[in-house]
Amino acid sequence: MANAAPLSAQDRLDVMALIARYAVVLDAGDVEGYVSNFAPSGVVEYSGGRCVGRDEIRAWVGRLVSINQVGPESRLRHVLGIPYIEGDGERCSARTYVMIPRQGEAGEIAIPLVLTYVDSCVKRGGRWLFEKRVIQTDLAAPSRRTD
Amino acid sequence: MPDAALSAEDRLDVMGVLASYALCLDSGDVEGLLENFHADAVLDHIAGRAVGHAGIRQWAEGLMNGGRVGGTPAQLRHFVGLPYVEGDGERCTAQTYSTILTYNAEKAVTVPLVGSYHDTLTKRDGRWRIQARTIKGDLGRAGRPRE
Repeated sequence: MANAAPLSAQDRLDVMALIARYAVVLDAGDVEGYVSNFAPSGVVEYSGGRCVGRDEIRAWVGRLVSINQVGPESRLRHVLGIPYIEGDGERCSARTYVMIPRQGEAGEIAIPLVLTYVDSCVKRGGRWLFEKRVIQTDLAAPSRRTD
Repeated sequence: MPDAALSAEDRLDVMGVLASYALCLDSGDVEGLLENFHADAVLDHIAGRAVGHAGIRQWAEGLMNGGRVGGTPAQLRHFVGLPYVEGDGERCTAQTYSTILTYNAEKAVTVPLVGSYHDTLTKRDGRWRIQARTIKGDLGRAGRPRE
């Protein structure tokens, strides 16, 4: 938008908090907390598909939690790097590395995935939300590779 | 003497420089990488010293020619942690851990090196860039301290 305010320090901290909250609620298996990070028409794109809108996002992540692919029983965590944020006071983009350590049955820890979150964020009603998140796979263990 | 304290805006700008460095290096974007350094910057890396944009370009292109850094599909990521930033509104230092993630011979994701960036950044014409960076190897074959 031509007349949007510049991206302030508060905006950048709010976007960082949004990105951090995504990981915290996902690892906690909090499906509604996860969905609330997205705009009503929000989009998630991942290696296996695409969700459009909160209902589809809820169904997708709810299934992942139910089969323990994410959430408290998954024995994995989404560890975030520093987001690189650009934009203005109404809309911005962010790119963030994500490392996913996972504990195996014997207690050993491996890193099956390294991702980049490529985000488009919008401020609605004073709150930053994901308009679109692309989950880009950068490095993947052989069992997680699709190529 | 600088009369401005290091503001929240300054700290976030510095974090943006550190995030951009990793994203540009890992994506093979040499021009973007150089934007994070002043033209007279000095980079002390594990194998030597690079001076100015020409020297840093040569160093970066040398890494990229090795095939792992900046390759497509991705072969390596510099996963940058939260920086410790101190200084004032014109000059600051930052210390940041960086975990290198890449594939091993079995194509599993592994951590060959944990290093740290010891940076001096200065603000010129309203923009923070790296004035001097020392890259230290803290853990791993390339950087293990001599015993």
